[in-house]
Amino acid sequence: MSAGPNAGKLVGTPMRRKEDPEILLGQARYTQDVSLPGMLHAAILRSTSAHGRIDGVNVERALALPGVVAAYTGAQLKEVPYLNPMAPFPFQSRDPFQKGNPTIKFFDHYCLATDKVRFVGEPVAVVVATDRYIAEDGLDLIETDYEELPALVDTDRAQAAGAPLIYEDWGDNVMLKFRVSGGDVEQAFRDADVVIKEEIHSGRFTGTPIETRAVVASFEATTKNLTVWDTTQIPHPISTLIENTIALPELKVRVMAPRIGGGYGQKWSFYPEEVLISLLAILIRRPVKWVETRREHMVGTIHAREQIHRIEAAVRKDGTILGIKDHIFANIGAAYPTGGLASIVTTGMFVAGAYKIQNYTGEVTGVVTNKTPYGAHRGFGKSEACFVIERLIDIIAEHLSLDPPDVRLKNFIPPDDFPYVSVTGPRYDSGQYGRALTKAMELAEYSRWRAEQARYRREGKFLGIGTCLVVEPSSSTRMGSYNAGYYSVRMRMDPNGNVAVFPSGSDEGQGHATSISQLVADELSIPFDDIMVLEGDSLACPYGSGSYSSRFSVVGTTAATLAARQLKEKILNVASVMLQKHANLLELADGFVFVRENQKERVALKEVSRTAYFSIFRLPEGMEPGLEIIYHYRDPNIEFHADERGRVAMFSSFPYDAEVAVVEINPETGTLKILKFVTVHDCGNMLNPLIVRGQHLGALAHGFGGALYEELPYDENGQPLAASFKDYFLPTVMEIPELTFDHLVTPNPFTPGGFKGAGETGTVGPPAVLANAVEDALRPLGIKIRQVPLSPMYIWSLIQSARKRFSGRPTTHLGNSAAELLEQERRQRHRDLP
Amino acid sequence: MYPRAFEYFAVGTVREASELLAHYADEARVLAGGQSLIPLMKLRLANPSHIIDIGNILGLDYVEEVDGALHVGALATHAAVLEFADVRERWPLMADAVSVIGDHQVRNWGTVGGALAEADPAGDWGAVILALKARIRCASSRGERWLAAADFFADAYTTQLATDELITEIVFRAPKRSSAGAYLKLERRAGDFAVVSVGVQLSLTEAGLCEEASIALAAAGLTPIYAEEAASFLAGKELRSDVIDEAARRVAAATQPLSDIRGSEDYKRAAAQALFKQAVEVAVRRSRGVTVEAAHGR
Amino acid sequence: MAAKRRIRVTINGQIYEHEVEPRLLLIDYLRDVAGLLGTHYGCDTTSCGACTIIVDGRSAKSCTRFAVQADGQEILTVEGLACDGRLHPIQEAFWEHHALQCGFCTSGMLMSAYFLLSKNPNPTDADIKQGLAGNLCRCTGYLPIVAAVRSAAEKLTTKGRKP
Repeated sequence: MSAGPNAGKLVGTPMRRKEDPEILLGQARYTQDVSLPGMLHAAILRSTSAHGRIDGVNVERALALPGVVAAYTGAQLKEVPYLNPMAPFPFQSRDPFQKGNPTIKFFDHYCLATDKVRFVGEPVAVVVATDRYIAEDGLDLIETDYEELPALVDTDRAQAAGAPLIYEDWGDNVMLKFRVSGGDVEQAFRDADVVIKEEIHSGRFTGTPIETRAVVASFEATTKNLTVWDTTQIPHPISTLIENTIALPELKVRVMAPRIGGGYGQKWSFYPEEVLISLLAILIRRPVKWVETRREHMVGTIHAREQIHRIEAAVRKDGTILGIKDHIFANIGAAYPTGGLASIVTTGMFVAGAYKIQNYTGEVTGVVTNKTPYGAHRGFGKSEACFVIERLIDIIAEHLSLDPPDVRLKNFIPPDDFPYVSVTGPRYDSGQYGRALTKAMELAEYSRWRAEQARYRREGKFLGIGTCLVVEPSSSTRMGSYNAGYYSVRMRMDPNGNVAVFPSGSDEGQGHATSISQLVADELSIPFDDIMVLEGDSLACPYGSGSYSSRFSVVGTTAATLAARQLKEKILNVASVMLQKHANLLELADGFVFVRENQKERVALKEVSRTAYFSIFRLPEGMEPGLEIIYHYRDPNIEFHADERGRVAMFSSFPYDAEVAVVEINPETGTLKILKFVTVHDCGNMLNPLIVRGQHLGALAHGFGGALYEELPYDENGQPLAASFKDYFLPTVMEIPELTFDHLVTPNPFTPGGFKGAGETGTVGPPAVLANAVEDALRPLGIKIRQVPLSPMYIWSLIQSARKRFSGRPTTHLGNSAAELLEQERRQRHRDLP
Repeated sequence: MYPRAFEYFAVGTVREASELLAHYADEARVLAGGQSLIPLMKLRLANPSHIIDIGNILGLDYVEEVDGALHVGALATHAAVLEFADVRERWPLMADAVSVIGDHQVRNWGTVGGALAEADPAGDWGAVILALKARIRCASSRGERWLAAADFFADAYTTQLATDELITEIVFRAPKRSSAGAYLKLERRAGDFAVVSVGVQLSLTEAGLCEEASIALAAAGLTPIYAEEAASFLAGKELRSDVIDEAARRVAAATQPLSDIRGSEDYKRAAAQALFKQAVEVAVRRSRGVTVEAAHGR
Repeated sequence: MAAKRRIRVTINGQIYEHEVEPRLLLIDYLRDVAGLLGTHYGCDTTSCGACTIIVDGRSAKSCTRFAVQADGQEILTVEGLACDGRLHPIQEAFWEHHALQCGFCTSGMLMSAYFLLSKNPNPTDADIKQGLAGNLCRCTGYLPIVAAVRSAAEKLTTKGRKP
């Protein structure tokens, strides 16, 4: 048959994707492409006030506009008897871990604001018309009356005594408190040679997929079947959440996620529009479509990353970190069911990063403010944690006059310690952190750049080198939430031998169809092109948690593999009846089932499948007809129950990435140039190296965005200052530097394929490694980097303040090239004179 | 994302356009390439009830050299200017500036006249016409007149054009043999509005003496700014380090930047100084015959 | 409501005639009237380029043009690139180089690449980047798209054909 164990195997090969031709031909269909007969279009009026009491919303004039079919306010919809407040997400109960830790306060938000508005962008009213242009005209005619209340944008001010209350019943502005601890942190601090205290800020930004959100809903009144096309990463949970929120008796919801134009976590949430558009279809009895404008997206789709860490490290003189205490304050925005709470709890769990720090306490406080709600974004809380610990390593190194890579190497979890149970509970599966960092430094020519740096410094110029190693746990499970800890797949071989696979997630660009086809083709020895994958239909696909946390690589692929093996077993069982030979004497390959010892005794796969479906009289009692199975795979490396200290293993697989960056800074403009960027990425075995590389590169681009360009600032009245792509600086192709890639392969020991998640790791490193590099560059000026993005203005301001402290230095270090040029000319002329 | 409704006129002559403008006054806007106007209408920041589309008027989209001077028809696209054979060599300041307007899609359809009439404080063409001391021909059904670049801008988004007037042509004089220029734009990312941008046109003698200088900035105030004091300071001087530094300080002093998401007032002034010095360097090298790629401030 | 205007547009070689409201954006004409859904909406400030098409041989953002302005013009959209179902060399190159993930920005990228190569059949990497600078992508990190365009340029040059 084949030459070696992997010869002819598709898994591991960089195959091009079967999804692509349809997209390239312009035939792929996204949610904004859905069109139904009689369909109407909705436009949503959003709050322009960050915090206000709603004194009145009047839609009369909008209703009078020709072409407008309906218009509703929050007060009107609240009267609908079967409409509930938004069901909670991601937690299903108010005490999800059932130990009072975290403590969470909730608020019953409806799909349109009723009593107050609490952030700019909050949905307030809706107009439904025959086309979107008229619906927007209708919005212009809605009159709103807000009594402005003082807005809160800062977590310290929001927690201060006497601060205005965003949710009056709460008594304060704290939504979540969580505490996790391990080891004996007090002893660690007593044993320390040095205690280092820092305050580090992670800035607010988000993922902004190029496809904005969209919802199309269609209701069939007799059967009470509601079909919802939705740009969601989680079709099944959304179907349940809509049913729980629109509690119309006998309502059955089918959610269809067609091709999705990018998710990154922003489409892993439960949004008011998903309820609103569904409800409109029910009330109006016609299909309704809403496509989010980008302006709506910048304020109405979740933000992420905004945290302040007040952190202390207990350290020995040789750089060993004995313990860490971290007080984390997350700026949550308004308290909608977005999944942000899970994200910030996750931050608390992963501050130890890649390091063997065995004494730790983390206290997470989620503070509500009048900003857009905080939700999931690629990295999901771990990005913030990694930014902080990777900065802290460099700060410790500076304090002790050590080289930062040496402090890293000293503290890494050693390769022999894996699987390693971290101080907060997660079981890190495998890793070679030291080797990855060393490799990255070699590729970057670290020593050569240090020598170059010395030369730069002699000339009064600024060049810096940063390193980092970030671990990005993937495949999350959370007790009492929709992240239920399993991945389900349905798999069918039809009478013609074609295989259909129905995974329980959705595809935002990760290439699931190709990946699954590679796996199934190998397991069943059938052609790659004979496999069809249908994803994103909550009716057709088995119930599952969806796509998030890079889990498809870990549990999705395993579910598909094991499902294929079960299907293969069924195939061999049917064939065994036909060949009158025991199933374990049989092989399946190249379209035939044959007796291993005598290959002439064989039957065509198509005959086997036909028999299973149409000649069931040949099958013995107890053997089910057909060749179709549903398989639920339980994530093996997780722990559901937290202990009394808050420790729990919520993520099962741990990809990581070592990075080295060299930057040059122009002190006059604060701009920086990346002279070298190296990444050594380890996501275990790679199912499709082309897809993995693409995911990692795309994630790095997101990382560069957050490190250098993207931020979501607000003024003190809660008005967002970056509410469009004109003011939110997504990197273009021009901003992406040359990159040097390499990888290590340390397989995931818990799954048959050995794959780890791949799509998020790249987002985590760049803010840390570039902050480290910039601080290193500006070390002669004594500058400390405490936040991202590293905008030119931020860098320039730091240099200005430093210069005030170092008066007497020249104002420019770059010289004056025009003058030098002309001076050279003059000298030349003088030399040339007779 | 969806404009309000409007009445639409597609005209064939300047006279027609002018008469409609006179009739509808504040209710009407002229549509040329649409790259400035349509984005505003989509956000409903501009809601003209009447649109006068001049895109079909023939004979206004030329880019021609006449006796060494460059004549640009008001409907010439940014791309057409860039594609004009001599632009990079003879008017490098203009080539630099136009190459950083938006992106290729916008440059293919946006017009020079449209950009100037829009009078965006960050508009690159505004700085170009000031630095190159261009003249603008304005026409209405009542006749024609010329405006000097220095007299063209009144305020943010406001020119000296009368309600019924259109730009028909912009004329750039022939550059002196010993002169060269450069335009640098500092952006947060490619294709963005400027944080600040600076254009410098210099005439240098062989001995390195600056005979004449012309300096203009965009995104440095409510209108594009001509740095008069810096320019006259440089005239007649040798370009030594301290001279260039002093000129840079005067450039910054001439600006009135607004603090916004792209930077504070102080930062923009500092960046203007840095860009000015970079631009002087490029202009000097070009005046010596060196080909230099410029346009993005560092 | 404003008086409708009759327009006649050639799209991918086929003539379309319709009465449209003046305010109808070209992108909506293409998608909702002509039924060509391959051109996408990604923003509302003419920033993202997902809506890029070719009009009279020049790249244009279809979200920043009124349908009435397209009267008498020739338009090429992504649906017009392939020939008899066979992928255009630029599309082939994108496929080979994994220059798309979610695919939402892809039609705009393809049209910008098409425009670039029609003007500059032998672009340098710097030229390619300039040619793609008006198109935003969040999935790929751009470098595979640059590689795809480089490869497409070689393919087209070898075949001796224009894009």
